[in-house]
Amino acid sequence: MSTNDLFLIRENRPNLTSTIRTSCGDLLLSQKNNLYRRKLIDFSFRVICILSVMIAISVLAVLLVSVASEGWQWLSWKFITSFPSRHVELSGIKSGIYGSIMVIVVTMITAIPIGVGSAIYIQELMKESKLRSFIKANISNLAGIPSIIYGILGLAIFVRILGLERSVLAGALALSLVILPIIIIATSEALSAIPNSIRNAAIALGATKWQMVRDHILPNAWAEILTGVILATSRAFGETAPLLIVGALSYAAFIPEGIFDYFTTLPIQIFNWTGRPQSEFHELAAAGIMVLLGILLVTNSFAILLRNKFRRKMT
Amino acid sequence: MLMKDVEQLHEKLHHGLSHQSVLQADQVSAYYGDNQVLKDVSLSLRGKSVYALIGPSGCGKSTLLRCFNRMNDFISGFQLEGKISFSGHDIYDPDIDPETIRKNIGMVFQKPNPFPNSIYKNIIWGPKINGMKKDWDELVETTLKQVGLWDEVSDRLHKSGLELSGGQQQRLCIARTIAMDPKVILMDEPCASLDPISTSKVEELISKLKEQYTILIVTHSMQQARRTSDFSAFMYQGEVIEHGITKDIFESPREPLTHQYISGRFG
Repeated sequence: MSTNDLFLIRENRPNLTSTIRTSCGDLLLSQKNNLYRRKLIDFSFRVICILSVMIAISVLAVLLVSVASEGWQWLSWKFITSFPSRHVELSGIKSGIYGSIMVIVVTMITAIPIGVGSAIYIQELMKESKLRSFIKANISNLAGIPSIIYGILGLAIFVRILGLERSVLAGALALSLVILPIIIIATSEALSAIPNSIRNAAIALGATKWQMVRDHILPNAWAEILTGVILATSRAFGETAPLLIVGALSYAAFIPEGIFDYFTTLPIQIFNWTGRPQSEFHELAAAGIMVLLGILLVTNSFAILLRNKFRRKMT
Repeated sequence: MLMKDVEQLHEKLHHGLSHQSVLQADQVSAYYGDNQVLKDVSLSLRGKSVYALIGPSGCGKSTLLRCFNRMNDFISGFQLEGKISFSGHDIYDPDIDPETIRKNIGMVFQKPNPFPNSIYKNIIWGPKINGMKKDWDELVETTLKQVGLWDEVSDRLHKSGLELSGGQQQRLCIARTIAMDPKVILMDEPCASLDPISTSKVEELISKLKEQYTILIVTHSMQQARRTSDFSAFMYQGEVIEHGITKDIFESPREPLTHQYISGRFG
């Protein structure tokens, strides 16, 4: 390039920049229409999402407010520590709470070892195979089966065949059937979150599968597993249908003395009160619902706290 | 490499044949389902030297490496024909525990994979579960000194191994392996995820470790194979095309395919 050329460019400069400016302006203008449309769609998308959230929250809020306004006046320590009664003012949920706690404890004792054990077998010990995928898919299906079906199964097996009658044990076993798939799925997910590099490291050091699971898999997965277990527990706590089928009492003015005793639970007590014609009993049911919701809120928050606190860095 | 050293290697290669080799593959074929990944591979590793497996991606070198400590056992559809022996014993013999094999034939992986535990625990876990009884403090100190990590981490032995840099993590993994007192160390591209400085540290370590161990290293870097190994095997599509003294393989390959690969024409 000679000095002459440079001079020419300098001469033409104002002209050149204005050309660039106008052509760029045209470019931006020509794309503007399209942009408006995209922005409009983007805006509508946002509005739809916000509406969905608001509908969900407001339904929940209406439910909570109506329950609280009805049940508030009955909520007292006396309500929690009294047995149900024909007289509204003497009624309480003592037998329901005791029954629920007993059923849940027995459910957990049976469901946790079986559920966690199954998940460890499927996830850590089974080789990748068609059978394994088949089993995993079917466990997901089991989690979707309505709980009343498990109640019928429990009635047939635990109440009739095993002769457990309408006991805490029969109810708890039926409930463990309901939550087993949930525990297995939650545990499987916790285990599959552990990177394979840790498994390889352990196996390459001459560890057996048990040593690997005991020292590296479970210590890194327990918080997630426990979270899943707690969420399954709160699901079991609120279950009513399978227990009704198995034959839990709807009126019990006593605390079950052992796992072979008759029982009732909090959700069943609530269900019973809502079926009464007198409106005072509906208010009692609302108070019961408040207690149930309180318990569930506490356990679920605990599960989330636990997960956040103990989630470990693994790679 | 000095002429005298090369002579010694030749000596080792030829006279070594009459001695028992540490690790030996005899006409090994391996399959993933119907897919044959190793074809009639025979390889013999004599003690206290570094062997490099080179070849393009997918040639079966990692599979072969994993056959030596039975890490392929967990892959469904994996099948092995032929014989692999470790100091004369068939390692796929049903009477032999794979755990014992893996204790004696250690492995270092491509990506550093320390346990999410302290440096101290990382080292003592292997010997502990294998029922070795030792002075753990002493074991930690000697192994960390062997891999040149002691000065860098002696003040934070009870901190997590994940807090170390990538290169330090990989040397910790090597320390964890030699804490088991193995005879052979398998290394699957141990420097693939490391920066050049960490790589040269690990390579120095490999040259030092061969005084005590037999090392089999899979590598994608031909420079690395040249720098670190005494013997090399070139693999292509599941077969060992050529093996011998590294210097010979790189300077006067017998097979045209080897020549093409090491001169960078494919792979």
